[in-house]
Amino acid sequence: MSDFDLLIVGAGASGGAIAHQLAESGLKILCLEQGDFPSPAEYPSTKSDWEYQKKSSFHVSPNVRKLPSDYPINDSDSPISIANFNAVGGSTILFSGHFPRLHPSDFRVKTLDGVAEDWPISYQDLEPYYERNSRFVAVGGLEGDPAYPQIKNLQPPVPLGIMGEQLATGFNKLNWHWWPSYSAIATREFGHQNSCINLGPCNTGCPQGAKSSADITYWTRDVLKQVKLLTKSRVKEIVVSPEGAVIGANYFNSEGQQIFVSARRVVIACNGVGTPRLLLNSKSSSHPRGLANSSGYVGRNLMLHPVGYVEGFFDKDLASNVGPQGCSIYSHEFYETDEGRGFKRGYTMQVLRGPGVIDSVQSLLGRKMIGWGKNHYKDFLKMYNRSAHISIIVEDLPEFNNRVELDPNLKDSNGIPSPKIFYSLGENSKLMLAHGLQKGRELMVAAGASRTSAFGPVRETGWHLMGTARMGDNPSNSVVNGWGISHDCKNLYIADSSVFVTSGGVNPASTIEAFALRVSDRILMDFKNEVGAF
Amino acid sequence: MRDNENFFDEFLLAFVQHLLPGDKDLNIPPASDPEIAAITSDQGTIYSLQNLWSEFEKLFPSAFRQSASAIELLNLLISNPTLLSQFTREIADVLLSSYYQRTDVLTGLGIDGKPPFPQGRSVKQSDLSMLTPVYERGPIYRSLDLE
Repeated sequence: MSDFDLLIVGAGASGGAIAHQLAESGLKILCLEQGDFPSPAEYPSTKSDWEYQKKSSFHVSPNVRKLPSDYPINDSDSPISIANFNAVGGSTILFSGHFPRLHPSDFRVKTLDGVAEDWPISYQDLEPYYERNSRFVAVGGLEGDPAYPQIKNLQPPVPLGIMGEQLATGFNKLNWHWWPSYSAIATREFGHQNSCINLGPCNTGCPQGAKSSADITYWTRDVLKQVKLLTKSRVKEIVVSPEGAVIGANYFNSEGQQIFVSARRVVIACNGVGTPRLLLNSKSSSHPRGLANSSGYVGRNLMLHPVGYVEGFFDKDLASNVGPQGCSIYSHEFYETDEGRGFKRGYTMQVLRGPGVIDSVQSLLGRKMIGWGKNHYKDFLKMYNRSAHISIIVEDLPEFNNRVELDPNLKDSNGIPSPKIFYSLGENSKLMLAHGLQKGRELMVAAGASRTSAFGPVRETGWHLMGTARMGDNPSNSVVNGWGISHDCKNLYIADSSVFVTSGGVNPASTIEAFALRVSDRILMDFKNEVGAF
Repeated sequence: MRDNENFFDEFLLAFVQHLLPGDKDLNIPPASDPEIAAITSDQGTIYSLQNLWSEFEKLFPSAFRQSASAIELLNLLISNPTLLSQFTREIADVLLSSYYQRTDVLTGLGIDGKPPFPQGRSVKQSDLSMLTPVYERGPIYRSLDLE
């Protein structure tokens, strides 16, 4: 007799979605989360020194933050450092809320473009889950977007702002696609989410409770009555029977004691770095290369979405740092493959709001656009809030050598081996990024910028961690099937972005959550079909 | 005999005043304002600056021996662009982060120094009629006849 029917490892976007969906199933569910409940009253934007906190205790890198909930990640062999957050709600605590879906073509890249592999599921398979998710996750946007099949259940979009409209004139002049961002932000009251009041730095946590971070959307009081959630509980390894079936996990509680908990089924939901780390740390005689790793694909094909930044300076005040930081408008003009561009697949242009004062001063000084000394202040005022910003998010194709391994030396505070990242940009990504930076500058000029700059890849942008336990129909080159079920262990599921076959060129959060809902349906069905069902 | 630690602090104040001297017209205090200078005392940064200080001393031993004033040493530093740039780079992040979170500095620049929450900001409402040409162009996503 197991302690629990279902053990979920990780309480972020995917783990939270599964807990939320199965809370009323009657299953006895435990979720183990290494972080704690976030405290919105302590989020940086409640403090005057919010920009400083963003660079320290709320830094995107666990290696800088060094909170008790964090584990170190050796990313010294990657031009892009890993970003995450460990708490109930996971990395959605610090995400900007940009919430686009994948395109139908993203699931068929091998068939259409001869690159990577097709997904074992289609856009149509996932579409009902995207739709279902929007019933309890507030998403702002606008129906009728020509870049997508119909998307419903949207709240009004976040306001474009003066800067967004300025760039929109440029897009229109070039006859390029643009549309209000899909934003995981409540622009009207929604369930227990408050309406957005444009605090700005969504990426340091939302004390208003308007951003649809997983702690708010999924870990509701009702869910917490049904699902046991243990925080500050870090899983060391998944434990298997002599026959190789999953039987539970060993974890460290908040006092550092190691505890075994048994479960009939286990879901891993620790993101594209944490999940392969856990699988590789779960070696046994029946899984000598790590759990679920008979294919050798655990940790392989890491995709990170290289990001470039384009900046334009204008001769008027654009109030550019007013509004939700990551959400205004976006463009998919260059999303689908066009062979004439010299690369396969494409990218998103995501318009960002301008930086805060400290970031702005640092950036302008760093590029010698202003100096120190007596003219510093007046020169700064001539530039501040007069800039517009675009991030270029390029589709990162899977490459076997881009990978997560266990670092032979680095360990977390519980002595568990930490991940080491091996990553470099492929040629296709480099060409795509260069194209995006060039097109971004063209857009800025068309919108009226008097000066532009562009650079990438940007180091501290490794938010989108994908591909390291990919799904597929062939057990020899994939880790799970299209339902997230391990090919090697039928009672082990993986529900986060590590299962992505390709990365698309969009932020993955909405797809992570939609896929997790699909996995939760399957888990329920598997329990129902079990002999002696619950 | 000069107290080297105090002298280093004295030099540091002159240095940050050189970088961010304040602006009387805008009513912005200099970075050497004691309250501001105190919060720039990040230990890691101070340690790095002290190392640079030693390099500085090696380059200009006679000035240090002759007990030059902090201002004289600052002028020497300014005359050496490489070392000046090293000193500046070392202190910039900590100095800017502490200086630009001061309400009096932000107010002088006409920027609201209050934390974003709870009052929030108002954003101009969108003119969505600008989307008309985008919409009229029709679908741009790749349709899949395969499905």
